Amino acid sequence: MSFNSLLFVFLFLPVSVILSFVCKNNNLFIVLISFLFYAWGNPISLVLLILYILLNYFTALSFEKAEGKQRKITLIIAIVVQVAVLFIYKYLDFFLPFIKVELHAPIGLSFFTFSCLSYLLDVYFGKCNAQHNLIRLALYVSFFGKVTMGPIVQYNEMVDQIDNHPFQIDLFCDGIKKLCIGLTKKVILADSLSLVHMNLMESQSVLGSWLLAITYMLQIYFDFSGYSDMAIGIGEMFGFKFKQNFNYPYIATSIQDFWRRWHISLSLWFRDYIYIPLGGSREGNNKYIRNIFVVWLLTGLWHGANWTFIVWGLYFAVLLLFEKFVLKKFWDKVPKFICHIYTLFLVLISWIFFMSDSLSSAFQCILHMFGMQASLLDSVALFNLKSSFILLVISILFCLPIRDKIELFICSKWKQKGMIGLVVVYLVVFLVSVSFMISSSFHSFLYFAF
Amino acid sequence: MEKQKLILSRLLMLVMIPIIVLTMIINIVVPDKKISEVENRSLQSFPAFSVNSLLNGEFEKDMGNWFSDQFVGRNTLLHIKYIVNKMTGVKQMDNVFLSSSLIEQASSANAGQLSRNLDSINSFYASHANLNFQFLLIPNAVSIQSDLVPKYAYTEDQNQQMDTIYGKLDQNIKNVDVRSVLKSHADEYLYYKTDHHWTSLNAFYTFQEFAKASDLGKVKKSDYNVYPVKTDFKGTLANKTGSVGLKDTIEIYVPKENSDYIYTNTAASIKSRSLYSLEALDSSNPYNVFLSGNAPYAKLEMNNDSQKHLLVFKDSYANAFIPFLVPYYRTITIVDPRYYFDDIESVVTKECISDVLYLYNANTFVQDTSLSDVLGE
Repeated sequence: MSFNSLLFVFLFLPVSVILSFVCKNNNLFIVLISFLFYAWGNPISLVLLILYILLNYFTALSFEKAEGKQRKITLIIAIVVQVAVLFIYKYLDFFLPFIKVELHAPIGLSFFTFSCLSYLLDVYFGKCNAQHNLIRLALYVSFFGKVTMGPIVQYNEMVDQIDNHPFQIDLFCDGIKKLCIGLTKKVILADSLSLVHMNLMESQSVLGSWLLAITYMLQIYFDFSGYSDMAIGIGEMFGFKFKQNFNYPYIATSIQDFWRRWHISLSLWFRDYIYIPLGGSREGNNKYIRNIFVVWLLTGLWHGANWTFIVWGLYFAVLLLFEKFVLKKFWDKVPKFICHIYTLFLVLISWIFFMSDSLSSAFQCILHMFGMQASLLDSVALFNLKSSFILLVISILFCLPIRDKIELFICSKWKQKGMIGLVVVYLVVFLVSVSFMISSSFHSFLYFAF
Repeated sequence: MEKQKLILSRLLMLVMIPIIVLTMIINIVVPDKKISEVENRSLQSFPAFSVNSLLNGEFEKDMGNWFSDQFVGRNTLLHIKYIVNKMTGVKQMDNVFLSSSLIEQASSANAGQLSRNLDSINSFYASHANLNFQFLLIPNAVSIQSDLVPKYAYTEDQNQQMDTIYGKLDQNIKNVDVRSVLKSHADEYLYYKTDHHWTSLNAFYTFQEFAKASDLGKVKKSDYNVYPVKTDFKGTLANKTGSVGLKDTIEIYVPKENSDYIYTNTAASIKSRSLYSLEALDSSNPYNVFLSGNAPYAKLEMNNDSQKHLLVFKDSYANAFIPFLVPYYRTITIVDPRYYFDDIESVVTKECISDVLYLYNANTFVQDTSLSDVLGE
C-alpha cells in the first residue's frame, strides 16, 4: 500500500490508529497491521520480510553464545546472505547481463535490508543487546511507517522506543500535521512537477534542458521528503520519534552541507556502518580518500544498478574530496550567495545523472544545457514554463524554510484569528490534495525504485 | 513560539480527525454507484474476494480503485482539481488544452497503420472503379480554432498530416478539403467547448462544400429548421478534465424539404422514422442524439426518387453529418469499421451501392486501426 492512496489515508490509517489506541499501542498489533500494509498488493513478498526478521533474530541471539572467530563468521555469513539476496534482486542483471532472469525486487528491500544490517552490527559491536522478543524485532524491521521507503532508522536509535512508545497527545498532533504536509508535498507538488518534467522530455532547447533538470530536482525533493514527512508523522502517531530525514537540502552552502541535509538517515547509515569501521579520516589521507570512494560508490549502487548511479555517487566523492582538500582553506571568505549557487548548480548536475537512463543521455542533456546541439528556446520549453510557472515558484519557495516562519508570524500577529486562519488553510490544502489524489492515475514514489 | 506551534497542531488534530473519520464512515455506509455521469464511465464496485486474486494483487488493486471510485464527493473533488489547475495557470490536462474552451491535442499518426488504411482505400477504389468515391476528412478544433490553443502549445501539425493523407489518396477519389472554408468561419461555434465532436453548424458548412463538390445543388441555412435540443451539454472533454462553468448547446438541422425515411440500426434494435434519439439527450452522452450513437451497421431508406445508393465508412463525426445527406440518396448504408466485422463486398452488391463516402475526423483517422481490415487488403 502506498501513503498517497485514498485507501491508506481514509481507511487503513484511521482504522489502524483507532484500534491501536484501543489496545494501547500494542506491539503485536502494530506488527500485524505492518504485515498487512507490506503484503498489500504483493503478499508473497511478506515471506521474504519474515525470513529476514527470523534470520536476524537468531543470528543476533547466537552472538550471545559464540565468541571470537565463530562470532565473526556468523556475522559475515548473515551479512553475505542478505547482501546476496539484495544483489540477486537488484544487481544480477547489471553485473551479469548474460543471465536472463527478470526479478522484481520486493518493495522496500534496500531499506529493510539496511535496517536489518544495522541491527546485526549494533548487536555485534556491543552497542545494543540482542533482542530476545521476536515481536519487538519484527516491529523494528517492519513498522509500516518506514518499511517501504525509510527513513532507515538505526536499531540503536529505536531500541528504547520499541519497549516504550506510549500514545502522546502532542506527538500525535504533530504527526497529523506532518502527515498533511507530506501528503501535500507529494500529491500536489511532486506529482504536478512530474507531469511537467515528462512533458519537457520532448524539448531539445537550452531552456528546456534547464527546466527538465530543475523540475526533476524539485520533484525528487518533494517526492522523497514528502514521503519522509508522512513516515515520520505516522511514526509519531504511534508514539515513535524518528529523526528528520531532510533538513532543507537546497539551502546548503556546500556539497558536504548538502549531504548533511539530504536523506540524512542513509548518509548516517553509511557513515556509521561503512565509513567509520573502515577507519574514517583518522588513518591518513590515502585511506581517507579510499574510504570516501568506497562509501560513495556504494551509495550510488544502493540507488540502483546502472552506470548513471555509479557516476552519480563517484561525482559526489570527487566533490567532497575537492571541498576538503582545496576549497576548505578559503571557503569562509567566499560570500554566502556564491556558496549557495555553487552548491545548487553542482547538485543540479548530479540529478541529471540520477534521472537519466544512460550516461549518454545524461551527457546529452548537459550538452543541451550549455547550448551545444540545442536551440535557445523551443515551444515545448516555453509552453511548459508558462503553464507551470506558478507551480515552479511555489515549489522553489517551499524548498526554503519559510513555512514555519510564516506560521509563527501569522500566529504572533493575529493571535487566535491567525491560528484559525492557518487551520482553514491546512484544511483547504488537504482538500486540494485529496482532489489531486482522486483524479490522478496512480503515481508511485520515486524512491520505491531504490 | 513552541507553544503556538503546539496549539496550532492541536487545533489541526481536532478538525482533521473528525473529517477523516467521518469521510471514512460515509464512504463505507453510502451504497456504491454503478456509473459516473461526470466521467462517463463505469465505476469499480467492491471486488469479489478469492485467495487467488488476493495473492496476485488483483483484489488489492480493485479495492483501491473501488475506494477511489466510490469516494464521497468524487465529482466535486474532480472539479476542485480543475479549478486549482485553472487558477494556477495550468494550460493542459492530459491531452486537453485549457482555454476559453477545451481543445483536444492533435493525435500523432499511427504511421504504419495509416498507410495501410490509405492503401486499402485506394485498392478498394481500384476494385470498384465504377462507383463514385468521396473522401471527407474533418479537421479538429486544434487546427481550425488555433487561436484558442494556448500560446506556445506544441502539438502535432494536423494540416501537414492532412496534406500527407491527401497526397497518398488515389486521384480518382474525390477529395473534399474543407479546411479553408472552416478556417474562414473559425470564430463561429464550430466545435463544442466541452466535447471533442463538431457542432451541427460545422457539419452544415462542411455539407455546403460537399454539396458543391458532388453537384447536389446550392444549399443555404434557410433550407433548414434549426432546433436547439440541449442547452446544458457537457461532453467528453468536460468529463476528462472536470471542467467547471463550460457548457454547450446541441442543435439539430432538419431539412425543410426532407424525404420520409426509415432508420434501421439492428445492433440497438432501432427501426424508426427519425434518426434522432431524444432519450440520448438525457443520457451521459448526449451527442448520441444523432443516429443513437455509433453502430457497426445501420441503414437509412428514403422515400424519394434518387437513384443514388450511398455507403459511408465513418467515425462518430459522421453522425452529425448524415442528417444532411438524407434528401439526396435513395439509401444510405452506414458502416463503422471499428465495430463491423462482416463482409463488405456483399453489402456493396446487395445494396446496389453507387457512391462511397469516407467521413472521419482527422484525430480518429490518423489513429484508426480498423479500416483496412474491413476494406480488405
